Amino acid sequence: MKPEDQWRDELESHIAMRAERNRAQGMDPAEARRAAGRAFGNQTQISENVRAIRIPEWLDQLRQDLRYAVRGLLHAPGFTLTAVAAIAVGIGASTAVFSFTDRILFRPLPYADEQSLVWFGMTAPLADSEFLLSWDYDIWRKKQTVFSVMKSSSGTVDCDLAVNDPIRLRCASIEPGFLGLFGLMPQIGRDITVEDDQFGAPPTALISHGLWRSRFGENAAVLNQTIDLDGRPVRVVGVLPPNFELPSLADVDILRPQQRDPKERGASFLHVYDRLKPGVSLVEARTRLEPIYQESLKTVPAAFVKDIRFVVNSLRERQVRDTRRAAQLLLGAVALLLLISIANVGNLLLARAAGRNREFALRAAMGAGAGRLLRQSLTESLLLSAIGGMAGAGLATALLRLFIATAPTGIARLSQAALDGRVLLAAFAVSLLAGLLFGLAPAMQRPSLESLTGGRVAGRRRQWLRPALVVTQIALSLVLLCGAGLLLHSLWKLSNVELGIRTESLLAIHAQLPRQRYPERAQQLAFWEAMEERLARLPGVSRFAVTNSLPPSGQAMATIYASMEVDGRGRVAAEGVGGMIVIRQVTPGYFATLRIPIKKGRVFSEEDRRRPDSVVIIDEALAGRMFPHEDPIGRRIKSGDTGWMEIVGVSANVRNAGLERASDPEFYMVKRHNATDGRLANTAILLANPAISAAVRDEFRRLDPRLTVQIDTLDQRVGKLQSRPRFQALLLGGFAFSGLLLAAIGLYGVIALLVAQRTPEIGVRMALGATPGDVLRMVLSQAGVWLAIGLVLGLAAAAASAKLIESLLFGTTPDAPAPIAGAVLALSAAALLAGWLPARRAARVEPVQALRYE
Amino acid sequence: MAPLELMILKTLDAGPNHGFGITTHVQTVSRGLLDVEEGSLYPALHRLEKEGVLASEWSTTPAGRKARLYRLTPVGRKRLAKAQEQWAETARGVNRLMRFA
Repeated sequence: MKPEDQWRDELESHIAMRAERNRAQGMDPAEARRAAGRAFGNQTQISENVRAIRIPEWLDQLRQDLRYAVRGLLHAPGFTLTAVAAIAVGIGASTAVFSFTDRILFRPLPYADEQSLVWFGMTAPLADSEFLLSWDYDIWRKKQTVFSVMKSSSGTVDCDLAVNDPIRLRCASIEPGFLGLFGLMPQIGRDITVEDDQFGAPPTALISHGLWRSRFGENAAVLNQTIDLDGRPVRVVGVLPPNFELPSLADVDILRPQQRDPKERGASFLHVYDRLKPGVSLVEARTRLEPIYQESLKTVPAAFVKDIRFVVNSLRERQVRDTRRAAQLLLGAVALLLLISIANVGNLLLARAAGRNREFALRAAMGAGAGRLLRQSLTESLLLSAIGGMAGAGLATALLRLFIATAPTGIARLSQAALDGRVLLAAFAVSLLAGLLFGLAPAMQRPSLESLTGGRVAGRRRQWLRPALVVTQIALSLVLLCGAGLLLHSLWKLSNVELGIRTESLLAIHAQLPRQRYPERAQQLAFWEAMEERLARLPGVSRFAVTNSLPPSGQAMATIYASMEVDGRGRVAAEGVGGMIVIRQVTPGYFATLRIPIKKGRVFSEEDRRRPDSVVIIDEALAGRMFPHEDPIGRRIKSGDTGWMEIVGVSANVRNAGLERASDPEFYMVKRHNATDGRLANTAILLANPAISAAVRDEFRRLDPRLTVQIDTLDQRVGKLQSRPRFQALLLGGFAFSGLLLAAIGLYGVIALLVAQRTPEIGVRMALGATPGDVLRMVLSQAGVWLAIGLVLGLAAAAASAKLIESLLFGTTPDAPAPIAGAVLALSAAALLAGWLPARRAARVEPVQALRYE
Repeated sequence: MAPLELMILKTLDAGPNHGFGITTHVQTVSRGLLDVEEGSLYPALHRLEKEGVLASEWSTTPAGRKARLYRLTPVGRKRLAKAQEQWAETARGVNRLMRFA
């Protein structure tokens, strides 16, 4: 039983006994009861006294303060909701973003002793990450003196697991001891051994935990089971631990031994990871590796040498490189938002305190001490912070989930991002601190009795603080809005990139023939030619093409410009000059299907496919480069071992290196009925009828039921290339919008308060002949001044922070006028609206009523 | 030591009692000369309990009514002995003063 209730019972029992006594002495029952109650005197007073003894004073006062604060907040629901929302947005957004970037930038890698891990190698335009060439890898290993361990893996490649329902997986091959380098071992089963790695040893594999779960029901029986991988029986020897990730962060389902053929002289790219010897720094390692690099460079074909660089990075540096800029931008944005929301809450609290000046003066006059008043306003702002903090935690969880769901693939370790308790606590502490600070400010000044007279006396001194907060909010919001505007502008530019092709209503079908079941090029050709015939016969196929790669992604065959030759002229460029040339093999229908205009000469014909020598169509970029002053038609060119090819046409340029990078020049070879040409296993088909994907799938199943086929629309493929910029724009846009909203709320609050305070003055002015229009102008001009100051400061801050965003932009610069003008306009419109609402109220003031106010 | 406190302690020395019982006991024993005001009694009871002089528990009176019974703790007994002594001295002093003046 609570002390409170106990006391009530005790009182009750006393009165009852007294009444009984009274009755026994002859009083009538009603009178007896009344008299008993009277004997007690002032019950409330006694209860107060009793309670004062029972409950420690501070606790009691705290309860009173809390009750008072709750009542106060409930009485001003508009204020409470806005303040809670502002705190929640600040805490929620910052916690979510911190949790999310923390994973990307600061978390320990899932490897033992990560500080000494290194990824080094050569970079070249052909490869997407650092590599060493397999032919002199062993020499590197023998000569290097800086690493205690050095291991390699291949890049990941597609591989097909044929079970009942074939799936395409990602496979990589590793050296024995690769897992050990990272302090890892298989969760069950064994690691790949040196024996497994011998050339010609029976094939073995480690499977990922995810694959084990989804395909093998986490059953240990998978060990020593034989699976069909790319048409080859492979024995599963182990399962990788659940948190395993390749240091390159590429998705991988299966690891196999490399089984390098010691006699093979062809080069493959190896990713090389190492552990530094104790006491060796990165700089030192680089210096001591340099001679081996120079040696290795001699084995590289001269044409490539100029484009090759040598880099040594710590693994962590290398991993976060791509996402760092975006993560920093997010952190910056969310810090701004947090500041805005704190300024906003401060503003609201100050405005509220000013509005309650009279109430506080009254309470002071009634005997409430300065300490008591201070504590009361503190309790209220702390309560507000606490509620806002809790709402913020909820918001953070939801936001984080949203981030993970909408984020593009390829952001390192994003899927593991979880709400970080410490971050939440820190954000919460910040909001409490802000509550404390802003609760303190209005209470520091003991309200004077003069404010009881209704005049505007108290608080005059603080008039600069609220406008300053409003100006700050406007300025910070402008920075956010400018950033968001620039990213949206980039996104808009990106989605309007001239692709040079028409992607609408085209089905993109892609499959790769497993080399084991189609070892001969003739078999591969036969498969695709059979498929071409079948698909061409399908009803409703008007435009149709077979190609070995699809624009605009950068995944096409390519060569270096320096390897190109023109008949009668030899090499077109000095060695090591000129970047990449894209090569595509296409059927004659390709240009019509993608609506690529032929500018000169002719399109390929079916006869071209039967010619003994290949013919080519070059694009305008290549034509301009190789034949700046002559007609290319009829000339013959050669690239590497292609043999001489006659140029029959010049096509328009097509974007072929992704959306963001400049395109490379390109030439098209006709896909001949000849198994010697280029890549055959990996083929894509374009079909101008998206409605028949089921029929397409059936045709594939009839020809090879075990083959994995990917079918989507070309629009979807292009859309995927925009997912990262879209994500960035979406995030920053969300922050900017929240900031804008908060700034508008802040301005509204201050102007509204100003109007309330100046109501008597406005009344006088109107009584003296000012029109409502004059009043409207007067109030709005005040808002306008603050807006102008905020805009100027904001533009300066935006210009200062431009560097941060520059690298994320596409097709626009940090000083592009359109997005900045857009940001200024949006902010001005919101601010003027926020000022106009209270200004209109001021203009409607009844002079008589306003004067009576005084 | 205030007389109210002494009256409470002395009453409870006779055995546990509730608040109403204390007022009637004081009235009866002093034959109506002394009166305990409810308004001061309860705050005093609660303060004494908090100080550890009294302990209380809920129980049922012979008349079948629920009441909170107060009793002396060992600390209370010591406090009573001291208070009695002090009161006797005070009374002696006052008596002498009255006679002399």
